[in-house]
Amino acid sequence: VFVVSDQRLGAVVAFSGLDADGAFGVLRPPPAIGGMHNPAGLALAEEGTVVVADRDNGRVLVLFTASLTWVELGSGSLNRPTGVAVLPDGRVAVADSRRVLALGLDGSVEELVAMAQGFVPVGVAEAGGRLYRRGHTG
Amino acid sequence: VLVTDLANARVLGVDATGSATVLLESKHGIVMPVAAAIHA
Repeated sequence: VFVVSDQRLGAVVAFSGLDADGAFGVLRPPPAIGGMHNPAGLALAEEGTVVVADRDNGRVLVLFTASLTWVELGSGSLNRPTGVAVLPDGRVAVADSRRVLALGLDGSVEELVAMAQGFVPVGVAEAGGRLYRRGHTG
Repeated sequence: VLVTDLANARVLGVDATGSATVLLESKHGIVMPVAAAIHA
């Protein structure tokens, strides 16, 4: 299974299989959560959990596919999240404007990389306990 | 790896030999794929 964020659709498209014969479906949050506005980076975690940066809504959405439950993280703390990764402890690392934050499902927010002049991370990836960010300085 | 092809509104799977397969395209409803993820 893999997932794709589509900015024009404002949705995540999930595709099963790794050949052209797989099945696909469009995933959108329910009205209570509100639609996505320019979804950006996303990650697929254990048990099919989907994490997506809902960039222009300034939040991260988590979809637990087993229960089709959506959870909103980071509202009020994020500016313009673009990249996400799931950390080994289950928190979500977020590249947001000029910093990297870790969001917990319990609502916790920790700054992993502080805001700095000229630092513009746009993507993050978790790799065996190390966190990498993609961005540029200057 | 998965590659999102914005210009052609499609998602490709590329194997270690460089061979590419179109996995998703406009007929599947995608319009502007900007990122993709797969669980390793």
